[in-house]
Amino acid sequence: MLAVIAAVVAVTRAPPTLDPATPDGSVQTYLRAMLEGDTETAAARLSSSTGCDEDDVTSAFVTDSARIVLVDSTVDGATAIVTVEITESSGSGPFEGSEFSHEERFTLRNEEGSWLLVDEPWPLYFCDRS
Amino acid sequence: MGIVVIVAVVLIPLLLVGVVIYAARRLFGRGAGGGDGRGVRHFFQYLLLYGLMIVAAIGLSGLLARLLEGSALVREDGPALARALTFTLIGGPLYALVGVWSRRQLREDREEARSLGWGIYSALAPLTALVVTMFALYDVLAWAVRAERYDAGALARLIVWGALWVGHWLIGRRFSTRQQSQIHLALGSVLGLGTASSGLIWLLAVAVETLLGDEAGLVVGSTNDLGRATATLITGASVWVVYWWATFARSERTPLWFGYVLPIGVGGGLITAISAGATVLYDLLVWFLGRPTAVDASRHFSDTPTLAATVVVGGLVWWYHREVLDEAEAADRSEARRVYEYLMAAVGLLAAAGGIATVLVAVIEALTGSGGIEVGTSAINTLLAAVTLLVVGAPLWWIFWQRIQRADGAERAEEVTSPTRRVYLFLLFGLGGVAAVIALLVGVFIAIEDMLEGRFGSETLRSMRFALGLLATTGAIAAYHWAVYRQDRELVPDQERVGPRHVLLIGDADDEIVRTLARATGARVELWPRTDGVAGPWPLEELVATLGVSQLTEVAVISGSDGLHFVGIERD
Repeated sequence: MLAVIAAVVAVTRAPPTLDPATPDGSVQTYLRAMLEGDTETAAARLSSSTGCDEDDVTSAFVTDSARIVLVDSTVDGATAIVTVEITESSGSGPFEGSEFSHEERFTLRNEEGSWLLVDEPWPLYFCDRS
Repeated sequence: MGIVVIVAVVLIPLLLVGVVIYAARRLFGRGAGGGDGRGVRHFFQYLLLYGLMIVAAIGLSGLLARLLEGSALVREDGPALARALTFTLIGGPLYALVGVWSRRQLREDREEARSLGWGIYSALAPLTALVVTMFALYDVLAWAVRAERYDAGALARLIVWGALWVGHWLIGRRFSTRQQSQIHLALGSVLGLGTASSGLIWLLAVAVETLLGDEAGLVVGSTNDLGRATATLITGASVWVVYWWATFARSERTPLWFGYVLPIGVGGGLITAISAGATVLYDLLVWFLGRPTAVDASRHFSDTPTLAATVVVGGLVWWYHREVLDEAEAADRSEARRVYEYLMAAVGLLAAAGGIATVLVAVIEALTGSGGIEVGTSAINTLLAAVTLLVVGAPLWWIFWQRIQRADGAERAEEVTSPTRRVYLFLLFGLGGVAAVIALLVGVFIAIEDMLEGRFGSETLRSMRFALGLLATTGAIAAYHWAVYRQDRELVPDQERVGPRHVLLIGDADDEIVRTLARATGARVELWPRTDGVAGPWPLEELVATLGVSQLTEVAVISGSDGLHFVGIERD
């Protein structure tokens, strides 16, 4: 009984779509676009100060299978820090699955009314060198 | 998926052991070739049940974790969800089906509970559930004391695997034989004791470090060791209370019970405390007399709080199990006590022998002089390590060896014929002898080589120092134990063996008579219970008296309403 309830809820419960005008929503839009390969939308969430552009987003290695949970979110004036836990899963067969979790911190700055990611947000590294 | 690794680590070795035992029983055991295939059926039935349990539990805890996790931002994990759903919806009902069928078999057929398949499953399944539950409980507790972040997967595993453990605990109490449940309880007690002790050591060490001025431990955050240590302690202590304190401690005093209390509780505690104490002593000696590698005391003694805590906790474990033993033990020395005492004597002896050999090497180095003590290596530290080993090992060996040798009269005869003593003496004589011969060969080779090349001198002696040190100590050990063995034989000469070598009892089921009779006659004793209920209780004295004068080598004793019948048999 518990198994059936858990199965139904797990399948039907989709994560809510947050308002992209908030820091949490901005991070959600960026990460979802990253995982879905929508490089244009992902690059649009990056501040120009990152030095990262759509080419960097395209060449970044990102898993296609992950669960991302909001851990913490703080706003301090025009800066916000959003912490998430990313559980990446690999392997497609029933007996070859493996998962690992890591925490990532995203720093955002409010630039002209929209919250954009600054520094080098996961999974981008060394944008300005490329 | 950490859980798969945990399960694999527990499962694979136990499964291999199970397969080997099973194969051995099938090939060499009584009833081999019986041909009804029940053993094979049991094996696969419970292997399937165990596999399905893991599959269903992984699936269900995966789904539950999704329900318990915080606000999700993105969920793009189709394969993981598909796996969790498949495992739950297929594994779950199949597990329930095979489980219900197995339960009916256990209820209807008493033989089912005695089968090897059920025996392995009834210990392996709850222990697997226990290990996963312990890891999950630790994660949840660490989160509760803010030492770790929230982990929905751990909470889900705690619920699912915890429920599985409770279910198996209840079913085991109902269907498992005493021997099966004691194996499960002993292993669970070891897990609980080990985890609780590590937690307590960690907690004490962190507390001492905090009091000494390192305040980082009190900061709530990613380095909250105080919280982690507390979580470990609570996890281990809960398991220990349930398995040992509330259950195993109150169960029958079987050899397995003594095997847990003596070598593991008393012996493990003592060795832990002594080895940690010896390391503290060595650190002190090196700091005051040797050449410490660290320049400041705080770095040199950085491990001392942990070691001191280990001494305290090891001592506590040792003291507690000694108290338990004093209440439980009968007046005569049990074989488990012998195993413990000889084990302790052997540990002490080997430590002391290592110390003496190293001291001899250092003495030869000092005498030969040439080259002096090698530059760069802290020879003084090696010498201090040798002294530590000697100071700790020699008294340990002396105390236990004196206790062993103290027995006299009838006790002495029993002592010198005990299998534990024989094994101890032969092992030390044998290993000591082999090591001495190898050392002799190496030493003579070095000497002859130098002689042939015309450079025999003090440098040769120096090259031979390890071989000479080893030869002297192992040779002395071998010689001493050979002398002890000779003395034993003079005291109790090998008697012409009388009485049967194999006794098959057919009658009332009584494990105690099997053990007592085996001890009294030295024969291998087996018991097959009668199912018609006409057998009375076994008269031990009559059995021993009749078997003692029996000319048969293999005998069946049938207990019936008109007394005992002794029948000569021949096994294949």
